[in-house]
Amino acid sequence: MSGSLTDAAMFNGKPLPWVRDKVAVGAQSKLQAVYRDVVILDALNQRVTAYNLTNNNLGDPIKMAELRSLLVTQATLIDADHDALPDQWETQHFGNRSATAETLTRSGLSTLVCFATGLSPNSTTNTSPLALELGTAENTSRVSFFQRQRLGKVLGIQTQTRFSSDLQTWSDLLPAGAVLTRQNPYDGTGTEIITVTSPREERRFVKLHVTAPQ
Amino acid sequence: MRPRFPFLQLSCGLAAAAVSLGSAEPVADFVLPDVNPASVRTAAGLPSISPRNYTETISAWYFGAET
Repeated sequence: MSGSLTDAAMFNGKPLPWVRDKVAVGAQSKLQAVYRDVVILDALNQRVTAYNLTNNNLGDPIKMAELRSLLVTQATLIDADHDALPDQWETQHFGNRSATAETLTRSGLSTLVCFATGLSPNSTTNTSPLALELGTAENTSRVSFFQRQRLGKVLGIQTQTRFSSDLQTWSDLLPAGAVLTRQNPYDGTGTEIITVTSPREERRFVKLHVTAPQ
Repeated sequence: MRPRFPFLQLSCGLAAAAVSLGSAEPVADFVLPDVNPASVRTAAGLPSISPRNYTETISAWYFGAET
């Protein structure tokens, strides 16, 4: 790479993070990288492999496909026991794959809900995966609901907030005037935060609905 | 002259990860400032970057250099 990282033209307008290593930090050696390596880390931050861009010119469509395949392979979840829970996640938290989606965790939530919302199934202090906040904007009382859901496509699991005014009929359509926003907090949970903010109504019920393919 | 190892995170957070093929231990931890003002992380109010921000997802780190 020529030029200097202080040259803003190299990164301005591009959404990717850029960082500059320091001798005192030694990120390059910690990731066992050599010049022009792409180092791939898995969900547990274990080093999977490195793909060197000097040896593999990404101008070659075959090399580009090769790198893409490495990334996609790592990002593809494996669920050998077909219980809607990724094997890696089960092993990480339970030491084996004996849990099922319906297994209740120590906090009383199902294992599936814990996985879908980024909560630890071993925590006894998990709060509700659906949170509420009241506020005011433009002189109007507003209510915001927060939920988390997994980034990317994860075994077809769907996480939705559903709304009702009578506890009889539920809808996943946003209430009138509601605004939905997404934010990746980059907090190592693999989830994004979904916020639905709407004008406050006299009565509204919400629930989190998590489903997995049969 | 081949520089002092600055690096760029090429992409991240593609999805959750598959079973690891890597070593048994997580990589050593580190934190460095994100110098790109246009970074998606800047909008999230996160001035620094660490592998720990990307656990539960895969991440790819590209190591270039400045001259």
